[in-house]
Amino acid sequence: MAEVYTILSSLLKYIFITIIYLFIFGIIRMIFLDIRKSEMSHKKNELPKGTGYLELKSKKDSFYFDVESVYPLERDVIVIGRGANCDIAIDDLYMSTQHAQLWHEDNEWYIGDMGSTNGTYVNGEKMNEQPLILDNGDVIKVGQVEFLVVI
Amino acid sequence: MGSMFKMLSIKRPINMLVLINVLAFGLLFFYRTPFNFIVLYVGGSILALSVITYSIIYFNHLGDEYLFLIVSMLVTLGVVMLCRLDYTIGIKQVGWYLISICGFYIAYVIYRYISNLEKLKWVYFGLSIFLFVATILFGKNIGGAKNWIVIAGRTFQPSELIKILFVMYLASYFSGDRKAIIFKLQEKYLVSIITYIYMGLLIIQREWGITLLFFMTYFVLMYIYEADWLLLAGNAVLTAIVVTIGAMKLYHIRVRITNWLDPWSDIANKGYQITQSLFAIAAGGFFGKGLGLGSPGTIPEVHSDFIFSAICEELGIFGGVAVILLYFILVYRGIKIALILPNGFDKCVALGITIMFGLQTFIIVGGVIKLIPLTGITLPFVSYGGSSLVTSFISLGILQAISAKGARV
Repeated sequence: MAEVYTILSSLLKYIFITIIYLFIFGIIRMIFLDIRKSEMSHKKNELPKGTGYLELKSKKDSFYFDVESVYPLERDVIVIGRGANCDIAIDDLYMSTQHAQLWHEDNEWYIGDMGSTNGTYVNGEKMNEQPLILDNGDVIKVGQVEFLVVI
Repeated sequence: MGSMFKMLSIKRPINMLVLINVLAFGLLFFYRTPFNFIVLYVGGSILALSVITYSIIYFNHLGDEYLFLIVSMLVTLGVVMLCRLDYTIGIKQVGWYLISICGFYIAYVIYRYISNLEKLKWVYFGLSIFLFVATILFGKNIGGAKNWIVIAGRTFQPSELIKILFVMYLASYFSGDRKAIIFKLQEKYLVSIITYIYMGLLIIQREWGITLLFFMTYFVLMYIYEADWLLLAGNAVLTAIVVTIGAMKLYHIRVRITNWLDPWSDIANKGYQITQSLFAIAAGGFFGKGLGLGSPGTIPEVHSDFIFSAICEELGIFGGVAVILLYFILVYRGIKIALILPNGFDKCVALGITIMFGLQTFIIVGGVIKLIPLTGITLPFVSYGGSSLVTSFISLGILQAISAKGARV
């Protein structure tokens, strides 16, 4: 029995140390996200006047993936999705590679679903193929992430 | 499935806390035959208390959520080590942890909802003097120092509580207008004298570690707040002279310094403790011997002052560095909380408490690795000891309350 304990303990010591460092790393990561969040809220104030942005409505550290607090709408076409080449790339497993698209036309912002698996929700209602016009204060949900539209 | 994955992600520190708790206490269950079920109860209680308190802080937004998380990891490591050394101490420590968490909430509520705490300067001083006098009159002699009071069959160390009162006293002075003249003395000189009175009373009780801690805390706060550099330099020079004279004349100080410089020449007696500690750390190597496979029992006082050596022996230098890193981020959070506050009493209290945590860790870890002369003091949150644990958690409760106030600014 004593030999079994010795083997167990000698193996587990590496696991203990790994776990403690993962714990420390986790806290440092959360603190880092916290600092970046407060930096991003500064950035929001620095955007040129009249530029719209998407503000993260969900609590950031409730996700296992990285997501910014603010995404400025600086281009005329913005694709949201899991793919790395999207304008807003979020590594959420509930998101399709190209999930939804926002575009600027005739002084209005439109949103259209790009045939995503789990759908795109605007103010809690699932979109069909028909694009919608976004208003200031609308809430869009893609994957698990909710954004507030500020335009 | 997605939410399960999210809940169990290794990026969530709380999951790591649960994992290490389950694995470590699970391992200790098999440590000796017959298997010891009490160890499992101890681990379960520690885990339940930590997770419940963390959830309360997290979901009710009671200020900074990292402080308690870091500290609960330290407590867990401490109790794992204590259970491995002697599970009866582990059981007692769990009881103290429960009382400490009550103290944490009480301190939080008092500090958060009672205003004008900065005007009670002389109350803090009076209470400390009262505790000192009570210790001298009714104190009980344990281990060569008369610094314990027995209340209802439980021993209690008043000097631990005086640490908080001292920080509150200094904070109410440094955040005040500092222009008062009392007994024809400018207040800044009076505060210096009062600090020396505190230190003198502690030396009577042979509390060398806490004496050093008080001086260093005062000195750091003075460095931050005091514009008068002459006073700072004067204090430094005066202390240097007193310590030099003390080292030559006083047996207690001389022994500590010779033990620090050369413990090997009297290895069987006076150098025994520190050399055993060094042997233990050396035996651990990088990854340690494994929980339960070392022999930290050879170090005297291993469960209180020397617990860091035991951690180094069984979890290796990586484990020891991890413990120091935990204190590092704790102090970082404390300073961060203090920095975003406007000038005032709260900021000074937050700084004082954080500095005290940091310095106390430095004094004892530095002592057991023979970096500085050894002065007995507990490793906050890890060492066995009711008064120390409760006091540390009361300080943490105050820090938590300050962070909750700061979030609204």
